[in-house]
Amino acid sequence: MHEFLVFTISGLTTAGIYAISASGLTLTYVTTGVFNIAHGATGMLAAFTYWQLAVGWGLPAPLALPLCVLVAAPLFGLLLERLVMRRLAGAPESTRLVVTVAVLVVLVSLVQWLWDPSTFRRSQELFAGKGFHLGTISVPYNDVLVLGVAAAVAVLLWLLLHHSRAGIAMRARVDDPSLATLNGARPSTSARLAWMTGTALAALAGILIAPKLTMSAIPLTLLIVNAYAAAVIGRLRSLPMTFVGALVVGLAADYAVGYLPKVHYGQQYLRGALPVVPVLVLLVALLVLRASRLRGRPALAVREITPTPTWGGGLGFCAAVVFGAVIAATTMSKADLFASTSMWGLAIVGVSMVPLVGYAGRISLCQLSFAGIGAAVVAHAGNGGNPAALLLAAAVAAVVGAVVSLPALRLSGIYLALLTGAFAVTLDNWIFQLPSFTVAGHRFDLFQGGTLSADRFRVGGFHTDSAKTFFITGAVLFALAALAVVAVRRSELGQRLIAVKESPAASATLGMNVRLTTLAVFTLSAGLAGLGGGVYASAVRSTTADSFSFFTGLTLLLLVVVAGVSSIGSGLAAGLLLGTAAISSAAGDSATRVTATLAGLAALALAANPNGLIPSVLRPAYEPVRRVPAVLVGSVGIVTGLWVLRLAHVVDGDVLMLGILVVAVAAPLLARSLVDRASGTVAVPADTVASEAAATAATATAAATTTTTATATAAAAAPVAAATGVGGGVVASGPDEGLSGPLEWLGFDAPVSQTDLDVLDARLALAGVDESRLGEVRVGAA
Amino acid sequence: MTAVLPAGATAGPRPGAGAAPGGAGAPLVETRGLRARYGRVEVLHGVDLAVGAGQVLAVLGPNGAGKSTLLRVIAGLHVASAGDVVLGGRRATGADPVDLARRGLCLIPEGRGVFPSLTVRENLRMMTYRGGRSRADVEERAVARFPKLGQRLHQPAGTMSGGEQQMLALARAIVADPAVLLLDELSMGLAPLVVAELYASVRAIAAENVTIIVVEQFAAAVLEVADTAAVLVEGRIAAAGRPADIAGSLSGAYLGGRPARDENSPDDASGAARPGRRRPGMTR
Ligand SMILES: Nc1ncnc2c1ncn2[C@@H]1O[C@H](COP(=O)(O)OP(=O)(O)OP(=O)(O)O)[C@@H](O)[C@H]1O
Ligand SMILES: [Mg+2]
Repeated sequence: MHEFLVFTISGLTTAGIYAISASGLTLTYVTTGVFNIAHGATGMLAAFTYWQLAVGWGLPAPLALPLCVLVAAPLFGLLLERLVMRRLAGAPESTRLVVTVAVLVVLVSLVQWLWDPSTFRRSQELFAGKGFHLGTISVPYNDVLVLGVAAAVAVLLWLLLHHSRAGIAMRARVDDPSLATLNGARPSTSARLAWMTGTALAALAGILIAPKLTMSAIPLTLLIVNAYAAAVIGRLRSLPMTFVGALVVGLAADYAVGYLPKVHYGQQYLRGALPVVPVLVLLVALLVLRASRLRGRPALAVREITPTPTWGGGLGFCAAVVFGAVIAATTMSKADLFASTSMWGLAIVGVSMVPLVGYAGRISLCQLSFAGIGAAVVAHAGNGGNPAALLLAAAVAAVVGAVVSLPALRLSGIYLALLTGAFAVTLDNWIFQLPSFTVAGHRFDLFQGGTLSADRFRVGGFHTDSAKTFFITGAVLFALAALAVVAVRRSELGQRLIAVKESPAASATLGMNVRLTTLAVFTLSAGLAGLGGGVYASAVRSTTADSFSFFTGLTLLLLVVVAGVSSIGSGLAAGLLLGTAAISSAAGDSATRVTATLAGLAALALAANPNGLIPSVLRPAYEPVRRVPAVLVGSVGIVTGLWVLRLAHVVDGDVLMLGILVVAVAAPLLARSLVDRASGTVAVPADTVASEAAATAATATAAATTTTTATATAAAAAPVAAATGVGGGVVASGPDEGLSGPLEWLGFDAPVSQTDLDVLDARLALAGVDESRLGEVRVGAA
Repeated sequence: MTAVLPAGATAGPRPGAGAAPGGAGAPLVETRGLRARYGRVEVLHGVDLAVGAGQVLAVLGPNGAGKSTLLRVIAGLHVASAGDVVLGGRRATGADPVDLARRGLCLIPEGRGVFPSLTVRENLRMMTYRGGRSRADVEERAVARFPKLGQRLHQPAGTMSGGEQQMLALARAIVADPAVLLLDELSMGLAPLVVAELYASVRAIAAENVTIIVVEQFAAAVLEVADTAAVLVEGRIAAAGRPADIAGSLSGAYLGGRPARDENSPDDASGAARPGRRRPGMTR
């Protein structure tokens, strides 16, 4: 009984901390629509800041605590809103989520950079652990304070949201931002307030929970992630239910700490389960809560465009990848090559996200866990390099994916992300760490308690033992996986995925089986991820569960989304950055600094290009190359020539690298100027459609005010645009949209050139229109 | 962000009551050659309108004519691509909608202009953003006008009937003391009886010298309230004048679906031939 009371008191304290954290999370979610994955990391940063102030510099707690919670944290929230979050309105949900992942990565690496992880630090409980006695139990003042603060937070938040004008305006903004504007409430003020309050609560929770562990970035971050379970029990909406949820999670966690070690049977299996107890609560909550209760927020107008990949483009891409791999494999040094073999496995895992996250709009945080399963399968079944093990890996991962997706079918948006995240953490922290066990007479030993070794494949006389052949084989496998994804997008399944993403309700009323479609895409992408894991395992030969950790999975997803999760090229980008020595060799000792910077840049890039860099920057830049065969053939010729010279040892590796770089930069510029010359227009900036269109619009406006025929032209233009499907409802509105939006809707790859417009005019039988006025017609007139 | 309603619009006597800046009878709301586009599609092709202080202008027109867009541009929610919005003699083109709202320009948008997940009371609370009105005062005035709202103070607005929601939206026009009121299709999807009730309120507001632009599909309800009327077809003013005259020309504008203008006139761009240029607000 005594023991029970002790655990209850500490459980209540944990619950109080979770409640503070979870209510901050819920607050930012309901008022801004962004689920802040970095909420825990914000608390972690605050804990370190507090440690620095209170322990490092010896500031008294009554000064250090308010400084952290009431000054530093709100400032940080303000910065976050200003730099990143503000620009995410209307971005796809995956982007909104992944931006916060980027923030998490920034914070973790920032902390590891500022506070050397190898130094032991411990934060002090408030009141220096003193307390009073209640019967036989000692109750620390710290715990009493935590509970008091939690209660105060509950009351203050309730007052804020329901009884203050600022709070009501925050809720109003979620309902209808433009109506809130018409009522005189500045939307940015509400968002700023929400972020400032949210980060302050995260900071408070982080500082309070820190004494329970030693100060270490990732464990502290994950510890506060447990509060997510509480937020989900509150359905990310209700603050009272969030507090109930916090109570459940907090007590469950502390009872588990107290009683799990007392279970006699299977101790070695259960030990690992301790840290994942809150995650299990999250899993159960997601499974038990009725689906109708877990509806995501209504989808806001999304400014996302998913172009259909063409076979030509897909094949060209794959050919380029394999060609590049051959060049790399034949010219790179052995050490470099060895350090880069793992990239193809990761690239395949990355490309497995394209159908699921990109096409179907379902956010999965456990793709790398499927890869871990695939790796384990290959290590066990691939003895002697049997390539069938790869297929088995894909099949097993696909089956697990299907099973995981069954409960996920009714979930979408953030709830699905959390479910898959919970699954990933469970695998990562518990299942992958299990010692060997026996089920139905078969002995399982997933990661053999540590390191897993896998052989490289052999097919008949062909074996991939050498780094060279394996590298090229990996590239071919990636190319096949990418082509499979293209095939999916071009099939009926692909169209269904897009339909379900854009309007689940409409798809259902059309008689589409939404669940079956979702199940199919989950299975497929889990299978691909499993394949990727298998390739990874045999690439690195010996692998540990750490390679498939939740945190690494988040980083992979981040890279894929930044590159553009609807493009197959994003997988390659993720593989290159994560699977080669590119980052670590460039960074050397300052790896964490570089990671922090890169992730920060990624967040900013995402805020600017919510659809990713490939569709909005790279593809438009390289598009002309495809249309000028001379440039394309010339580039390939130059690179091949350099490569041959390199193989003949006429030039060295640096010259080859330099040559490839020059070609990569010069080809698009040359092609663009040729395209422009051919169409007889003045060269326009390569990257900005908006400026091109705006310039044309400006000329047209000028023309309209000076010529009498302009009105007729304008009148002609409206139906033109309407006939081509630009009209009502399709085009997102808003002054910031500029003129760039509709061009893509016309089916063009931006930027639109004169040739495109001529073709359009011909199709619309407008070719006869006076040549001098064509420009005005095209932009929809002034 | 310099030109907005005259300071007088914020507090104190409404500009409608006295002489507006720029001389007696000068229009309080004016659009000059207003053009607006969504992406590449232009939907307003140079709209000239003017409403005198304290007057009611009805804007009629078929679906997709650009009526809502016109109001959104005036309220600052959508940026004009050319032309100007002039409020009280000052350019207000591109002004921040929040500033306009706080200075007394009130747009009740198309559809239900309420926050569905807030309760009625909280919705009313949102409406007190303009100047120091107390909560109790706001509630009292809204309930005095629409007693039904008084029984529903704790209900989420989204669960009320369409008519009740529209009453709640219109309550803003009463409690916000606007200088200029822009109404977009109050009647949408409502029964005739409710529409009549809502327009009775509009008439009461108009009697307090508020300048009103009201957009409607159904002419009968609104032409009774209006001092002047304009017909917008395909983004152009097809006809403007006194309500009685407009009522006569309506069928042409709707059925013909073409702006009532001389198709052969090469001088269309100048706009001189268009009736909209005559500033309906000033003729009375
Ligand atoms: N957000 C938008 N994006 C693209 N086009 C739009 C948008 N909003 C309106 N339009 C187009 O602008 C034109 C004018 O629309 P508007 O809503 O102003 O018409 P309206 O006269 O209010 O019609 P209704 O009587 O049906 O309400 C229509 O052709 C419409 O399709
Ligand atoms: Mg309308």
